Amino acid sequence: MSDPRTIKRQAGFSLLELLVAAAMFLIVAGTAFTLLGAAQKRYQTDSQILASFQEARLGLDQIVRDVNDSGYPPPNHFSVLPAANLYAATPFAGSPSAACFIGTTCASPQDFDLIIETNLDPSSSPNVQWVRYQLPAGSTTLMRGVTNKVAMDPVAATSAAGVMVPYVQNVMNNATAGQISAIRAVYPTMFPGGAPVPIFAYTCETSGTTPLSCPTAGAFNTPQNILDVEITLIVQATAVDAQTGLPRLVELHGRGHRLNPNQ
Amino acid sequence: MSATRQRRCTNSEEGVALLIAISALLLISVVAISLIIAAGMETSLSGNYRSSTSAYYAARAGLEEGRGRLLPRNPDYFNATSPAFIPAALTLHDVRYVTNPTGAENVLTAYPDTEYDTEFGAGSLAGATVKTIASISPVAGIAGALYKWVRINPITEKSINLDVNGDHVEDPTTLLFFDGQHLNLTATGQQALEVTSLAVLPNGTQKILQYVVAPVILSLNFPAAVTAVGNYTGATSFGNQSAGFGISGTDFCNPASQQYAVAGTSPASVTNLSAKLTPAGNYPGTGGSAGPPATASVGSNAAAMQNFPDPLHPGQMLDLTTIAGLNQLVSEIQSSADYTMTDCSNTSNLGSASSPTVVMVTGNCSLSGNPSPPGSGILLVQGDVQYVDHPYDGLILAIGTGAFQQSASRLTHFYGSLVLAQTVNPSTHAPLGTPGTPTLSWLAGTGNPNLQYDSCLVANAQPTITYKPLSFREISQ
Repeated sequence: MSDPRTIKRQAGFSLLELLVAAAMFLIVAGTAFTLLGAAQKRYQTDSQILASFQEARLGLDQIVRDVNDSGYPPPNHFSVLPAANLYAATPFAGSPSAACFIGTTCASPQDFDLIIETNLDPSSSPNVQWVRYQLPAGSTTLMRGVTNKVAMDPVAATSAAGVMVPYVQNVMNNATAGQISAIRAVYPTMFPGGAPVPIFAYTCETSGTTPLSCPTAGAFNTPQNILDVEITLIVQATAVDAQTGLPRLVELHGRGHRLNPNQ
Repeated sequence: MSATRQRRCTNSEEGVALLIAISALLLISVVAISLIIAAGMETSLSGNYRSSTSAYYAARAGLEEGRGRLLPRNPDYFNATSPAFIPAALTLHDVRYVTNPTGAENVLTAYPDTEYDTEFGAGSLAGATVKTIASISPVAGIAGALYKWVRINPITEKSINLDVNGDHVEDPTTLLFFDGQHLNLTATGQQALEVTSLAVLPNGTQKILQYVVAPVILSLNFPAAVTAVGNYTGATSFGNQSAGFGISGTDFCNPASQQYAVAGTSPASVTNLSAKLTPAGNYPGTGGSAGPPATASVGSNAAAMQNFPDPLHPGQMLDLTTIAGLNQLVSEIQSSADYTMTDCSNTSNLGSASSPTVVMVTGNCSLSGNPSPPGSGILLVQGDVQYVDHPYDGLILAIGTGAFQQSASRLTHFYGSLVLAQTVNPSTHAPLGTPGTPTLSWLAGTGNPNLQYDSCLVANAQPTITYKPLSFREISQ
């Protein structure tokens, strides 16, 4: 009890030692938590970005599948044609008529608007549906709508209240000139020429063996002759990059191919 | 007392370290677990997308194998692999499966076809006549596409759930046919078949896709022994005036059916041809009498030639009295040809009645000899045809220089239908503006008739060029 060596051992660390230890711990812990905090912030913005891109990818997949299934049942399945709502007169509905020319007289289909005519599930209903994808002018939300085919203009039918619902957010294909130049400052290869990028580009079936890009297909440049639909979706994430503060975008490409005959 | 304090002191220090360590570990664990969960979610989302796309294309591969192997000219034609696997006409509930198992599995029990009963009614598959054949997708032990089976069967209104003839009744037993433009219940045209493919990926993703297909026949019917297209002026030879020569429009396989021996496409041509076709008795056919006809069977089929059904585009017409129409016909036959040759030296390509071929010859074609059986099919020649003996039957189209010549004075026969049209200048080969005057040059007439119409040989020569998909759909499950 009176042994001074024993007392010294029992006293533990000196105040100085404790302070040094605490300071070292603070430095190490501080560094670790700062890094962790940065990583967590980065993770949060990245997961938001991923969610945007994932939504866009699922949207693209659905468009491709709808294009693949377009035009069922075709008119060739009937020796006596039934009521117009029971068969797909053309795989892609045209407005104001199926004989309009894409890029000139068609209100739909065009660069940001496509109406697919098909029966999505013939076993549940014999009625053919119109599936419309539209990026309204001045908007960045791609809309999708499904409605039963009726005896009226497909654009008017799908424009009824409640038919079109938001489908993919932050679609920048038809962004304003200011937005495009801001994006091109970060991604110089996007938006060639600074012009909006069509979501839908069409290839038309012709009387020859080679399908042509619809605008060059002359008399075949009509909705009923669309064979392939090339889809380009440019989607901007809701969050900016955590480190640079710049916008984050992704460009997705897909191609839908019609297998049903065009008449 | 002091020993107790010492122990307490030591315990207290250990506890702080442990607490800090545990809390730090906890924090890091929470972050790590949330990262793993988020990453797992991303993986499964993109995995679903990939599986769905893979299954779609695997099922498409199955559809295409089924559709492709229906075609007789396919090297893996069903009936070549297994005789009579697909008869000329399937009856209701004749069901054929192409199976593509992984290892030793029985795909029809492992992945039962419930879709058939959905289409045809409960219990239909149990009462069906089922035959199976192995897929050609796996090659030399390397696994092919991941479809499990492909079903081929005839269809009814009920099975496709469509009222084809507009009678408001879905007929469950009458099989559907395709007449080139529409399905029908009147057995008009060719039988429509359904091709259904099931793909199952190792992760369990399934997809069923379905085609309705019908054969497309390269249909070319010229109802005359010899059809001379264009303006025959009489400047070139046509036939032979010896007693031993003859052209007959009497259908060889159905003598009651009489066609023109020689058909022209304009009144002037018919007049000029009539002047050449002497004696009249050597040209029997429609308009003739029981005995030797008093006048040669020559007539105009201009109306039929001006509205000739486009062989590849049902519902459209070709005007074969014009250069454009003839050239269109040539390009369509060329696109369907089994062989394209510069001459006819390779006779092995010329087919036979049991396996007729479509051959395009871009230059002159010299045919001779008496092969047994003779070559058969559709022979399109852009240069001159040199012909002797009995080397070929079926349909010969000399569209180009438009000349058919007997190349030696020997017994010579041809059964079927011969079409002559001059679309190019025979010496310069420059394109003409309107069809010129064709040539049928004969050295010696022996074995009358030398050229005779035969509708059976012509029908037999017309190949199935493809099984066209009439519709496609994905069957939701």
